[in-house]
Amino acid sequence: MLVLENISKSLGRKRILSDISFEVREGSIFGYLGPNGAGKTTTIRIILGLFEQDRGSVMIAGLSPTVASRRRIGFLLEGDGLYNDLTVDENIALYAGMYGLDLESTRDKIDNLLELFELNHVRSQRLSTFSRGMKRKTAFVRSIIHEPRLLILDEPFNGLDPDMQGLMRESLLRLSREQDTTIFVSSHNLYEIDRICDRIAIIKDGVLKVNDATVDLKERYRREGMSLEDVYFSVTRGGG
Amino acid sequence: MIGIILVKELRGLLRWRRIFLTVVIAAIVMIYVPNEIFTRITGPDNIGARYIDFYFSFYSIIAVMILAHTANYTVFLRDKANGTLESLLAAPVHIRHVWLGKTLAVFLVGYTIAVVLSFAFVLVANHTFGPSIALVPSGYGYLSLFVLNPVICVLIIGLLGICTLLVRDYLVVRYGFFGIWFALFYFLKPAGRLIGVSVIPVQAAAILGLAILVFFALRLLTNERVVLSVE
Repeated sequence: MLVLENISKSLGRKRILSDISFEVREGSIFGYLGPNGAGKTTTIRIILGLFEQDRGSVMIAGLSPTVASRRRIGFLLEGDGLYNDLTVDENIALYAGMYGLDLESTRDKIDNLLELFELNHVRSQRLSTFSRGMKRKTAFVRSIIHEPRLLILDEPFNGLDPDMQGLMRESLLRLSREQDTTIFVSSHNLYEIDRICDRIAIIKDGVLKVNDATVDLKERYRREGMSLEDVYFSVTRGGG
Repeated sequence: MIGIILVKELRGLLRWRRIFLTVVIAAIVMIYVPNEIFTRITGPDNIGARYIDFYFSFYSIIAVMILAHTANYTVFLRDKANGTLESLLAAPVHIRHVWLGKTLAVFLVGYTIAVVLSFAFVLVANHTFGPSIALVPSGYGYLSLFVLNPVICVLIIGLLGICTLLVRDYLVVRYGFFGIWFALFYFLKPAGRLIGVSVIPVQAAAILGLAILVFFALRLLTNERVVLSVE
């Protein structure tokens, strides 16, 4: 579904990404880990067409990313991207319009999602009064209303209480298993990544250090008595 | 897509209280100041009447620039400051559509107010001088107000928008904007002397110059440059 081949990117004189290659298979959940400044956000920006790579290629469902192809992508960036002076309904309607959705025909779906994420009772309120977690939930609902084939999530668990983290986890698993949505998750939450991802990649200083199936990765390191957290720290603190 | 952005920004502008304060300031500049000048220059030979077209047409540009400066903050800059711009650009929308939707929103609100204030100025001027001196704009005044000046204004707002999207430090844009404003103000003085001949070539030159600037500025407008200018 998503293939990155030999992606390199520099900003000014600084090399941000060096020969990044990975594939995210359709319907799978791909965890993308790395410390701050490792190049995770730049990778996401390249996938979303916000940045242009210096070298290499990005293919989404066999096609190069274009403005039109973004209709099949859902995203939740680190900043929620929501308008505080608009209500939940207005924020969702704005993005629904951009994805060419007819609000009336998707009304039931939106209602169900708002109900599921406990936002129904505040849907007419402006977001300026919302907590970080509520905004995060609203942004997540906004990212999936058009039933994207590829969902790009940057720190989706940030600001959520444990109950909502659980709900987010279940929602992602359901999207992957039942709707065959391909999910790319960048996160520092190793616990959640460990629980939901089929495959995990770890990036450090713009170089992909680990790219393996979660089961294989855990099995390999289990023999050495290491957890995913130990693996992560050995890669990011050590030489990888 | 442009329509979605336009409607969203229009709603935002009309909800924003600061816009009304700006209208009051624009009204003072548009009505009070020209009237003061008219009072001084209008003698028994009714010389001020010759300038009615000049003020009627050109002051709409000045009013729009005052309004555009304020509206530019809410429409372009706030999207950068709040981090909403990156999400907007990640949606299936071209950056030029975002720019055009926002530019048209500022223009529609600003120019509607400027047109109302232009007519208010004529009414107040006529009221000040009484029925013996009729200050009536000619066809040229209307041509400027409804055809030439809207084009000039939309190009200025568009250029200001591109600069706001691309430049990291908004102060640079702000001072640049005021630089253009004062340049235009002093440009009006010699332009005013042309009254009686024709100012249309001056306006046409302004439109051409601004259109060339916007054309080249638009080529610089890429997602990457805009996203990097936010950081």
